[in-house]
Amino acid sequence: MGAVVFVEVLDRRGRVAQRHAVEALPATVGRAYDNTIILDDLYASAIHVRLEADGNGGIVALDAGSENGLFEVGRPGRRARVAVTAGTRLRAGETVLRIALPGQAVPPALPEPLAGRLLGRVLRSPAGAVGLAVAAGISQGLSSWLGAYEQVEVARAVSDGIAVIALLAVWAGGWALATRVLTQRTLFLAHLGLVSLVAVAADVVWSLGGYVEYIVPSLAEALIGDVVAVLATLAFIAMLLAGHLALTSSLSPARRLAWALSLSASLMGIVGFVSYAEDGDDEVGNAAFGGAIKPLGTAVVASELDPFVLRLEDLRVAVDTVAARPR
Amino acid sequence: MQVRVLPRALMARTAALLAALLAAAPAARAQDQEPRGATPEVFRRFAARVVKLEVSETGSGAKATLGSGFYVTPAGHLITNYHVVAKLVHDPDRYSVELVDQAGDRRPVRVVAVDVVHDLAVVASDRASAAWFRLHDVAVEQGARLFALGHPHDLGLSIVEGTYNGLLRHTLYPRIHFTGSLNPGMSGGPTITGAGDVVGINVATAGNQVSFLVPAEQAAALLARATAQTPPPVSLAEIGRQIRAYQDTYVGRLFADSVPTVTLGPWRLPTRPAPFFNCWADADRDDETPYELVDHDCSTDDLLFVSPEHSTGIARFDHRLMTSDRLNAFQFAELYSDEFQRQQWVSDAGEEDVTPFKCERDNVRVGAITFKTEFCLRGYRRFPGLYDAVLRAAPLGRARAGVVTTLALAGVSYENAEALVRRYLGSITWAP
Repeated sequence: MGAVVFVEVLDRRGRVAQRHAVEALPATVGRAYDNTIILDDLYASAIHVRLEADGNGGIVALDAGSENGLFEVGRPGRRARVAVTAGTRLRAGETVLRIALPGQAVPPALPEPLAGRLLGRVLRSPAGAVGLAVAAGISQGLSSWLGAYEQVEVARAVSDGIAVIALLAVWAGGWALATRVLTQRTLFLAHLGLVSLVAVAADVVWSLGGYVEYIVPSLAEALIGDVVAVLATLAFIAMLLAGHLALTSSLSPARRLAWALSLSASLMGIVGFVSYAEDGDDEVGNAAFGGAIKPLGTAVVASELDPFVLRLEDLRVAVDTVAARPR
Repeated sequence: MQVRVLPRALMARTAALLAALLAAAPAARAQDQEPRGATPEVFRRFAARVVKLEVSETGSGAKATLGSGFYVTPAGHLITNYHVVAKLVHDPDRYSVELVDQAGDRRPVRVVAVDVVHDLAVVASDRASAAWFRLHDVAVEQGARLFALGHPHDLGLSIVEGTYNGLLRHTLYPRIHFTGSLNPGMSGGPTITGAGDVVGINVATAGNQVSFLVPAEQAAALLARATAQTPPPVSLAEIGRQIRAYQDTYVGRLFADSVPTVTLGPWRLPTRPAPFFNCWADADRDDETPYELVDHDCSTDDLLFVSPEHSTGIARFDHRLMTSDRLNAFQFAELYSDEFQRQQWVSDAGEEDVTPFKCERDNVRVGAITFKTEFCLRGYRRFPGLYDAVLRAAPLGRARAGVVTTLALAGVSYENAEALVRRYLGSITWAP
């Protein structure tokens, strides 16, 4: 091409809006239509900047008698003369100009999100993604079948599994649509693989939680158990959203995580608020019991009767405190 | 008519109290008239001793409760039911009670003493009474003709003939079985022999001429306490004390001695620990359902009325056995879980009366059995030291058999609840 210097007009967010290859110096920049680079800025003069070779192989930018002056971004004060190199940013009127030189170093390409790692490879391979979706379906079907005691029907479990796959596909489809709009790719299978993976992982973690609660109920006790459950849910939803965002947009990992966490927290906040509002009515009434039973028989951590009964005293103290409070 | 929601096992003995809470209208029943002439004479002789009691809201003057009462001393003391005047005891500033005598004269009365356990109260007007019933021991035979007096549905002082059918054998709170049609509004009125001896005080009916009386001797005892040098106070604290004292006697010894057991699956569980418990069994075997259920329920049947919103004083326990040879271990565990998590009704009470339940859950080893256990407790706001307690336990260790057992106690002290938890769990064993 033979350009001597590139002048890039940057937009408000610092991205390149226009790139001009200047083939010969001197070159001029301004609003008039006989400039080398024509600006569209009300605050730029007819001829605002002149770019010249400085005689030592470098390039210099000179204020060409502008109304509002020439500035170097990052340094105070109007300048008559700025020695420019690759990366120098100048301001003329309200326009920011960045100088680039042919042959200047550019950073290497960013890897595609999730590209290199095992996870990424699995998600991006059609077989991997479909495999994960099928795994999610099987996981749901298995849960359905193992949890059904009124009527033992394999058919119902199978249809539950298929229903879950369909649901995951719809969710992935929504994200694929967003990806298509924002980039030129759809990545449907990658989205499907991602949500299936998170679904299976959540299933596994939840089951494990249930078994832990069965084996050591006092460990999984009231408040601590609830806090962990809330944090785990938050983490899962955030991971899911971060993954989808990675495939969809070019946000930096930090910003993706920030978005994912805030969306996840808001969602949980809304759900929590709604269920709290509904629950308010049923305060006094029947005694409600929690605690699941798992097919592990007596492979549990059990207290002896005396220590258990001693703990009931604390319950009584708590109840007395509530009873003594005026309504 | 006051209707309380009672658990399944009690439906056979549902008894509604006889205080009319609203002036509603069903007509009085026709009586079989025997041409004996005794009834009109009984009415003539004794009607003047029976009054109507009206509890009204002091502000609006609206009638809140209607009941009956009768004179028992020359000084103007009357006997009635506690549940007739309960509103006054709970909210003395908001309610007042008046008697209306046969002549139609109205006089204010005050509550002098209450006996919550037997559902009795002594009230007094400050005017001497012209005629009264003297309370004393009466010998009555099964089948004797009795006459109940009172004000059914505010229709005027009425007399109802009926039959004495004995003292109920197996109840927590002593009751006489009276065969006759008692109706709301007759609460607190006397049921007498033809000679004018008070046998009992009208308290409740289950409909179909099955009615209940409080034995007169309880009223005599209360009257003696009320007219003593220092009568007990009429206050919520006194009511709390009475309930606590009474539950000490009946709950205190439950399960302490050896208790009859019932074999359900591989376990032996307690049944009928005292004569005042009634037990019922039920089995659910249906070819379509892949598991079988056997239920065994025991309960004391009578609720103790504390206030219109709050009934207590009941003890009950039930065992639900589940077995299956068609479900696999996971499916059975799911069934067992869901049954363990089933909610439990304990007593009728509102937010004003009790705190919400607080629970503690753990695996507990008692002897050779490890139980999944959960214990829930709630306190009575107006009666410190009284609680509703529920224990739920499920023994572990069989892949496809399980029994969920629940012990529910209403209106007990914490010490008794704790003692019962220990004894109850200790009484469950493996069947040999």
